[in-house]
Amino acid sequence: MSPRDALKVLIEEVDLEPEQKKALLASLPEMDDAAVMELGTALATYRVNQAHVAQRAVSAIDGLLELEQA
Amino acid sequence: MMESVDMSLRDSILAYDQFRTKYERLVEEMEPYLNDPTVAEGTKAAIRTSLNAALACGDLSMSLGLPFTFSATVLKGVAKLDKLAKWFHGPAKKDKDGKTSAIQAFDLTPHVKLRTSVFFQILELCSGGFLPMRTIEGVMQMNKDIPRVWAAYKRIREIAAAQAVIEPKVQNAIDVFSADGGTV
Repeated sequence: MSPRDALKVLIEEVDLEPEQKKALLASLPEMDDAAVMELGTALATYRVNQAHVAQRAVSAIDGLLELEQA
Repeated sequence: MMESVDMSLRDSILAYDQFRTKYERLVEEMEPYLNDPTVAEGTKAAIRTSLNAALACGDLSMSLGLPFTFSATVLKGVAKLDKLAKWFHGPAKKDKDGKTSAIQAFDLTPHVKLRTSVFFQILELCSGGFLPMRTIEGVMQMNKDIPRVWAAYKRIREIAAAQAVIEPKVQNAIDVFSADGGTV
Protein backbone atom coordinates (compact mmCIF):
# COMPACT_ATOMS: atom_id res chain seq x y z
CA MET A 1 0.00 0.00 0.00
CA SER A 2 1.43 3.40 -0.97
CA PRO A 3 1.49 6.20 1.65
CA ARG A 4 -1.13 8.12 -0.35
CA ASP A 5 -3.51 5.12 -0.43
CA ALA A 6 -2.85 4.51 3.28
CA LEU A 7 -3.64 8.16 4.04
CA LYS A 8 -6.90 7.86 2.09
CA VAL A 9 -7.88 4.83 4.19
CA LEU A 10 -7.06 6.68 7.42
CA ILE A 11 -8.98 9.83 6.40
CA GLU A 12 -12.04 7.66 5.78
CA GLU A 13 -11.51 5.77 9.05
CA VAL A 14 -11.07 8.55 11.63
CA ASP A 15 -14.12 10.45 12.91
CA LEU A 16 -13.64 13.75 11.09
CA GLU A 17 -16.52 15.97 10.01
CA PRO A 18 -17.85 14.98 6.53
CA GLU A 19 -16.79 18.39 5.11
CA GLN A 20 -13.26 17.98 6.51
CA LYS A 21 -13.05 14.50 5.01
CA LYS A 22 -14.18 15.79 1.63
CA ALA A 23 -11.68 18.67 1.71
CA LEU A 24 -8.79 16.41 2.74
CA LEU A 25 -9.60 13.80 0.09
CA ALA A 26 -9.88 16.53 -2.56
CA SER A 27 -6.50 18.03 -1.62
CA LEU A 28 -4.77 14.63 -1.41
CA PRO A 29 -3.45 14.57 -5.03
CA GLU A 30 -1.85 18.03 -4.56
CA MET A 31 -0.11 17.17 -1.27
CA ASP A 32 3.65 16.64 -1.37
CA ASP A 33 5.19 13.47 0.08
CA ALA A 34 6.32 15.15 3.30
CA ALA A 35 2.79 16.44 4.00
CA VAL A 36 1.35 12.99 3.26
CA MET A 37 3.76 11.40 5.75
CA GLU A 38 3.11 14.07 8.39
CA LEU A 39 -0.68 13.88 8.16
CA GLY A 40 -0.62 10.10 7.85
CA THR A 41 1.52 9.72 10.98
CA ALA A 42 -0.79 12.07 12.91
CA LEU A 43 -3.94 10.21 11.86
CA ALA A 44 -2.36 6.79 12.48
CA THR A 45 -1.26 7.87 15.98
CA TYR A 46 -4.73 9.28 16.67
CA ARG A 47 -6.44 6.02 15.61
CA VAL A 48 -4.08 3.85 17.65
CA ASN A 49 -4.55 6.09 20.73
CA GLN A 50 -8.32 6.01 20.23
CA ALA A 51 -8.23 2.20 20.19
CA HIS A 52 -6.15 2.16 23.41
CA VAL A 53 -8.53 4.58 25.18
CA ALA A 54 -11.53 2.53 24.01
CA GLN A 55 -9.90 -0.67 25.27
CA ARG A 56 -9.34 0.94 28.69
CA ALA A 57 -12.99 2.08 28.76
CA VAL A 58 -14.14 -1.46 27.93
CA SER A 59 -12.02 -2.89 30.79
CA ALA A 60 -13.34 -0.27 33.25
CA ILE A 61 -16.97 -0.91 32.28
CA ASP A 62 -16.48 -4.68 32.49
CA GLY A 63 -15.40 -4.12 36.11
CA LEU A 64 -18.56 -2.08 36.77
CA LEU A 65 -20.84 -4.60 35.06
CA GLU A 66 -19.45 -7.32 37.32
CA LEU A 67 -20.97 -5.33 40.19
CA GLU A 68 -24.38 -5.49 38.53
CA GLN A 69 -24.13 -9.27 38.11
CA ALA A 70 -22.94 -9.76 41.71
CA MET B 1 8.44 41.49 42.54
CA MET B 2 6.96 42.58 39.22
CA GLU B 3 8.81 39.80 37.44
CA SER B 4 7.39 37.16 39.79
CA VAL B 5 3.85 38.49 39.17
CA ASP B 6 4.45 38.33 35.39
CA MET B 7 5.77 34.79 35.69
CA SER B 8 2.79 33.78 37.76
CA LEU B 9 0.38 35.28 35.22
CA ARG B 10 2.21 33.55 32.37
CA ASP B 11 2.12 30.27 34.29
CA SER B 12 -1.59 30.70 34.90
CA ILE B 13 -2.25 31.36 31.21
CA LEU B 14 -0.13 28.35 30.26
CA ALA B 15 -1.95 26.17 32.79
CA TYR B 16 -5.30 27.42 31.45
CA ASP B 17 -4.23 26.68 27.87
CA GLN B 18 -3.15 23.17 28.86
CA PHE B 19 -6.40 22.60 30.71
CA ARG B 20 -8.43 23.87 27.75
CA THR B 21 -6.54 21.61 25.34
CA LYS B 22 -7.15 18.63 27.61
CA TYR B 23 -10.83 19.59 28.01
CA GLU B 24 -11.31 19.95 24.25
CA ARG B 25 -9.61 16.58 23.70
CA LEU B 26 -11.87 15.00 26.34
CA VAL B 27 -14.99 16.50 24.72
CA GLU B 28 -13.84 15.18 21.32
CA GLU B 29 -13.28 11.72 22.79
CA MET B 30 -16.63 11.79 24.58
CA GLU B 31 -18.61 13.07 21.57
CA PRO B 32 -19.50 9.66 20.07
CA TYR B 33 -20.72 8.57 23.50
CA LEU B 34 -22.69 11.69 24.46
CA ASN B 35 -24.42 11.89 21.06
CA ASP B 36 -25.95 8.49 21.72
CA PRO B 37 -29.52 8.81 23.12
CA THR B 38 -29.15 5.82 25.52
CA VAL B 39 -25.94 7.27 26.98
CA ALA B 40 -27.41 10.79 27.22
CA GLU B 41 -30.49 9.43 29.05
CA GLY B 42 -28.28 7.31 31.32
CA THR B 43 -26.06 10.30 32.16
CA LYS B 44 -29.11 12.35 33.16
CA ALA B 45 -30.39 9.40 35.20
CA ALA B 46 -26.99 9.08 36.96
CA ILE B 47 -26.97 12.79 37.88
CA ARG B 48 -30.57 12.55 39.09
CA THR B 49 -29.74 9.45 41.16
CA SER B 50 -26.81 11.23 42.84
CA LEU B 51 -28.97 14.27 43.66
CA ASN B 52 -31.84 12.08 44.90
CA ALA B 53 -29.40 10.14 47.10
CA ALA B 54 -28.07 13.43 48.54
CA LEU B 55 -31.62 14.66 49.16
CA ALA B 56 -32.49 11.33 50.82
CA CYS B 57 -29.55 11.79 53.21
CA GLY B 58 -30.84 15.28 54.06
CA ASP B 59 -34.39 13.99 54.44
CA LEU B 60 -33.34 11.23 56.84
CA SER B 61 -31.95 13.92 59.12
CA MET B 62 -34.93 15.06 61.25
CA SER B 63 -34.28 18.82 61.14
CA LEU B 64 -33.53 18.95 57.40
CA GLY B 65 -36.37 16.70 56.21
CA LEU B 66 -39.13 19.27 55.78
CA PRO B 67 -37.16 21.98 53.91
CA PHE B 68 -35.75 19.33 51.55
CA THR B 69 -39.15 17.81 50.78
CA PHE B 70 -40.79 21.21 50.44
CA SER B 71 -38.09 22.60 48.08
CA ALA B 72 -38.16 19.46 45.92
CA THR B 73 -41.97 19.60 45.62
CA VAL B 74 -41.93 23.33 44.74
CA LEU B 75 -39.28 22.71 42.04
CA LYS B 76 -41.35 19.81 40.72
CA GLY B 77 -44.35 22.15 40.53
CA VAL B 78 -42.27 24.76 38.64
CA ALA B 79 -41.16 22.09 36.13
CA LYS B 80 -44.77 20.93 35.74
CA LEU B 81 -45.96 24.52 35.15
CA ASP B 82 -43.23 24.98 32.51
CA LYS B 83 -44.44 21.81 30.80
CA LEU B 84 -48.03 23.07 30.86
CA ALA B 85 -46.99 26.47 29.47
CA LYS B 86 -45.15 24.75 26.60
CA TRP B 87 -48.30 22.75 25.89
CA PHE B 88 -50.09 26.03 25.04
CA HIS B 89 -47.48 27.46 22.66
CA GLY B 90 -45.13 24.70 21.55
CA PRO B 91 -44.00 21.12 21.92
CA ALA B 92 -44.03 19.89 25.52
CA LYS B 93 -40.64 19.73 27.29
CA LYS B 94 -38.94 21.55 24.37
CA ASP B 95 -37.55 25.09 24.14
CA LYS B 96 -37.52 27.24 20.99
CA ASP B 97 -34.40 25.43 19.63
CA GLY B 98 -36.16 22.08 19.98
CA LYS B 99 -33.96 21.06 22.92
CA THR B 100 -35.38 19.82 26.22
CA SER B 101 -36.20 22.79 28.43
CA ALA B 102 -33.62 23.30 31.20
CA ILE B 103 -36.43 23.93 33.69
CA GLN B 104 -37.43 20.27 33.31
CA ALA B 105 -34.18 19.39 35.11
CA PHE B 106 -35.67 20.98 38.29
CA ASP B 107 -37.90 17.94 38.57
CA LEU B 108 -35.72 15.28 40.16
CA THR B 109 -38.52 12.71 40.20
CA PRO B 110 -40.14 12.97 36.75
CA HIS B 111 -41.65 9.49 37.06
CA VAL B 112 -43.50 10.36 40.26
CA LYS B 113 -46.74 12.27 39.66
CA LEU B 114 -47.08 15.77 41.12
CA ARG B 115 -50.16 14.74 43.09
CA THR B 116 -48.23 11.83 44.65
CA SER B 117 -45.43 14.25 45.53
CA VAL B 118 -47.90 16.70 47.11
CA PHE B 119 -49.53 13.82 49.03
CA PHE B 120 -46.10 12.81 50.37
CA GLN B 121 -45.47 16.44 51.30
CA ILE B 122 -48.71 16.58 53.29
CA LEU B 123 -47.88 13.28 55.03
CA GLU B 124 -44.44 14.58 55.98
CA LEU B 125 -45.94 17.86 57.24
CA CYS B 126 -48.51 15.94 59.32
CA SER B 127 -45.76 13.82 60.86
CA GLY B 128 -43.74 16.96 61.67
CA GLY B 129 -40.93 15.84 59.38
CA PHE B 130 -40.65 12.43 61.02
CA LEU B 131 -41.68 10.34 57.98
CA PRO B 132 -38.90 10.35 55.33
CA MET B 133 -41.32 10.78 52.40
CA ARG B 134 -38.74 12.50 50.14
CA THR B 135 -36.54 9.44 50.51
CA ILE B 136 -39.42 7.19 49.44
CA GLU B 137 -40.09 9.45 46.44
CA GLY B 138 -36.38 9.37 45.57
CA VAL B 139 -36.28 5.57 45.80
CA MET B 140 -39.34 5.36 43.49
CA GLN B 141 -37.42 7.43 40.93
CA MET B 142 -34.18 5.47 41.46
CA ASN B 143 -36.02 2.24 40.58
CA LYS B 144 -36.57 3.73 37.11
CA ASP B 145 -33.19 5.49 36.83
CA ILE B 146 -30.74 2.78 37.90
CA PRO B 147 -31.62 0.40 35.00
CA ARG B 148 -31.06 3.39 32.65
CA VAL B 149 -27.59 3.96 34.12
CA TRP B 150 -26.69 0.29 33.55
CA ALA B 151 -28.12 0.47 30.02
CA ALA B 152 -25.90 3.52 29.37
CA TYR B 153 -22.82 1.66 30.68
CA LYS B 154 -23.60 -1.24 28.36
CA ARG B 155 -24.05 1.12 25.40
CA ILE B 156 -20.75 2.91 26.21
CA ARG B 157 -19.10 -0.53 26.28
CA GLU B 158 -20.55 -1.38 22.85
CA ILE B 159 -19.30 1.90 21.34
CA ALA B 160 -15.87 1.55 22.98
CA ALA B 161 -15.56 -2.09 21.90
CA ALA B 162 -16.28 -1.07 18.30
CA GLN B 163 -13.59 1.66 18.50
CA ALA B 164 -11.06 -0.69 20.11
CA VAL B 165 -11.05 -2.98 17.09
CA ILE B 166 -8.83 -1.84 14.21
CA GLU B 167 -9.76 -3.49 10.92
CA PRO B 168 -6.89 -5.25 9.05
CA LYS B 169 -7.11 -2.77 6.15
CA VAL B 170 -6.76 0.18 8.56
CA GLN B 171 -3.96 -1.60 10.47
CA ASN B 172 -2.07 -1.98 7.17
CA ALA B 173 -2.51 1.76 6.55
CA ILE B 174 -1.26 2.54 10.08
CA ASP B 175 1.79 0.30 9.54
CA VAL B 176 2.75 2.33 6.45
CA PHE B 177 3.34 5.39 8.66
CA SER B 178 5.14 3.64 11.50
CA ALA B 179 8.83 4.53 11.79
CA ASP B 180 10.12 0.95 12.13
CA GLY B 181 7.53 -0.84 9.98
CA GLY B 182 5.67 -1.94 13.11
CA THR B 183 2.65 -0.46 14.84
CA VAL B 184 2.65 3.34 15.38
